[in-house]
Amino acid sequence: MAERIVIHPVTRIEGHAKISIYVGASGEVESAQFHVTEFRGFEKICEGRPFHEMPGLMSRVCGICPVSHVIASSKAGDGLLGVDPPPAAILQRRLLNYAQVLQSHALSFFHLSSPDLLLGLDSPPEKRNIFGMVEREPDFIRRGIRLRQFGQRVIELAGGKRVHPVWGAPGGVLQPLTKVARDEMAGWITESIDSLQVALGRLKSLLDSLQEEIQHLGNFPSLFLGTVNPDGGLEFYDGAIRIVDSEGNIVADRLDPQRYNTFIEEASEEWTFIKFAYYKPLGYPGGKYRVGPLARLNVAQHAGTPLADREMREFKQRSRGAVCESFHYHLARLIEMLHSVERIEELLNDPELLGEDVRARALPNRKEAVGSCEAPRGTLFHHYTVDHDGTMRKANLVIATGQNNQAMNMAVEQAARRFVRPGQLTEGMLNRVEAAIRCYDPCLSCSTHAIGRMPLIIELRDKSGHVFERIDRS
Amino acid sequence: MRALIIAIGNRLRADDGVAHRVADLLTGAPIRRVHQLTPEVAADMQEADTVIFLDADPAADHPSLERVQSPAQTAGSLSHSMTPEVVVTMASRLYGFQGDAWLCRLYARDFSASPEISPEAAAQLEPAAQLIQNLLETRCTSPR
Repeated sequence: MAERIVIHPVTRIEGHAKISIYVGASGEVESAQFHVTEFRGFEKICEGRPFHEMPGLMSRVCGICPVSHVIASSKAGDGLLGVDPPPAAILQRRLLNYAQVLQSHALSFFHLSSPDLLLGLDSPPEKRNIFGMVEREPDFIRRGIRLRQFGQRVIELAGGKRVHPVWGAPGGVLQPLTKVARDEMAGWITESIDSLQVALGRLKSLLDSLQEEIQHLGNFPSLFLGTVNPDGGLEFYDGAIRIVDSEGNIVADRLDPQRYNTFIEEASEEWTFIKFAYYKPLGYPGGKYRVGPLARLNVAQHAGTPLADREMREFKQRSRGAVCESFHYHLARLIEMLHSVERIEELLNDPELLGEDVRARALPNRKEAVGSCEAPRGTLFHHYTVDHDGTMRKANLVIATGQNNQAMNMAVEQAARRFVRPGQLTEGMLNRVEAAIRCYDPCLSCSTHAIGRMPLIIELRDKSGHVFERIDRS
Repeated sequence: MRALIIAIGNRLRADDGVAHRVADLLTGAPIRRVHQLTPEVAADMQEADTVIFLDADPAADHPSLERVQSPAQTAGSLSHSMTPEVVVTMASRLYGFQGDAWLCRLYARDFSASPEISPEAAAQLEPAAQLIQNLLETRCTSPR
């Protein structure tokens, strides 16, 4: 009789969160906390499984960024085997990671954040949604849908499925890319670049009218962490870790992702299931850092592709040091999308992409390895330990949203202090608190993607913890 | 007739994957398989004149077909998951979709982590497929 594994409770995978806002004796907001109330336990599920199953298992971690999990997992597998994947496999991995950045960022910007940005944070909630956008900005929404389709189609053509592709493997990927698939992908490039330039123009034209939000939805000093290539350029697949401070100074450079646990540590708090990552030398909570689009553009000196480089130069002029306004995650996201399409075009023009040799094979040669890459929301680490026959003994996944957790809490608190009026809770206040979180596009088990109706609970508490006002939108 | 079948659900969550199993039995129309409905599905509908959504439903006792009401009254939360009504409304407004849209609700009670569906869900596969096949044939032979 087959053994049955029962997981209880069944976790809510749409992402559930709660915000507590603490009000002092003066009636003013004193602090706020962003709670993640779901638990998944993927690391435990991995234990006892053969390590070569991990890319397939890890593809199921996320419905939005499965490719990044497959890549980090496959790279950890490369390390356990002690092999370098063939060039065609590396090119495929790069290609799909860019495709995923494109489709994930498109979802965040066009579908989730654009109602706030284009219709207004104070527009009526019954209009501030996808229907409102369809009514007011049909061309804009169609462009967003097409960009997401492009990213998904690349993933489908190479990986077999748009979501949860079974495609990566220790030592490479499972199959070569066909010329027919490559040619179809190439057909989307021109239109995608055009759409991104339209979107960048629209967003930049709105920034002057959004100064209040830019300044108060998560504008604070912190460290920024991301991967850079040997030239110090923007990198998503393989490179070294760089950390800069809010002045733009390099705090640490050429850090080996394999040794992530020498510079990153995770703390826990009893009120949330997400851990709090911090830069180890500065301790907790002083070592708070941000990852993802804003961080990547802050740590990289250039993009390395012409159109994105032009945008990045302009982006960097928004601050003398690092760009610290979390609101600019949106702008950074669009620049990264443009860069991704440019890189996809380069990769499609590389004849080695169609190479037949896509997998290096070996038995396990090491008992421990780390795989890392840049996922849409930030740097991702998969750390595996196996026994002599390759059975997984331990897995540790350090995911971008956890690394942004301190920053998200600070952003929520800053937004609450600025916009919340105890006793007069309004939908507009709620939306601004949501917007502060949405800048980070958090992946609470890869979700909380909602326009206007994020499943949030906001509680106002006094210093003793007594709840005196509550809005439940779950 | 240009029909499109949209099968919704997760094959690894027991009865939640029942729509895909019904879709496996269908012939004569392209099948789009999704975990959940997202805005891109609206774009996929633009060439179709008949769209049939198949979805697991914990409240359904037996396979049933109903027309999708459009326009939707609310946009919903646009999470990862949209309703057929919202997708049809988007397809209509963004891509000029003017066809008929149907929803086939399928019995589903067990949503545990399993690739197997319950015997009750399995019992409806053939009748559900027949129901949809009949609709497709009717649409082929009858003027709209």
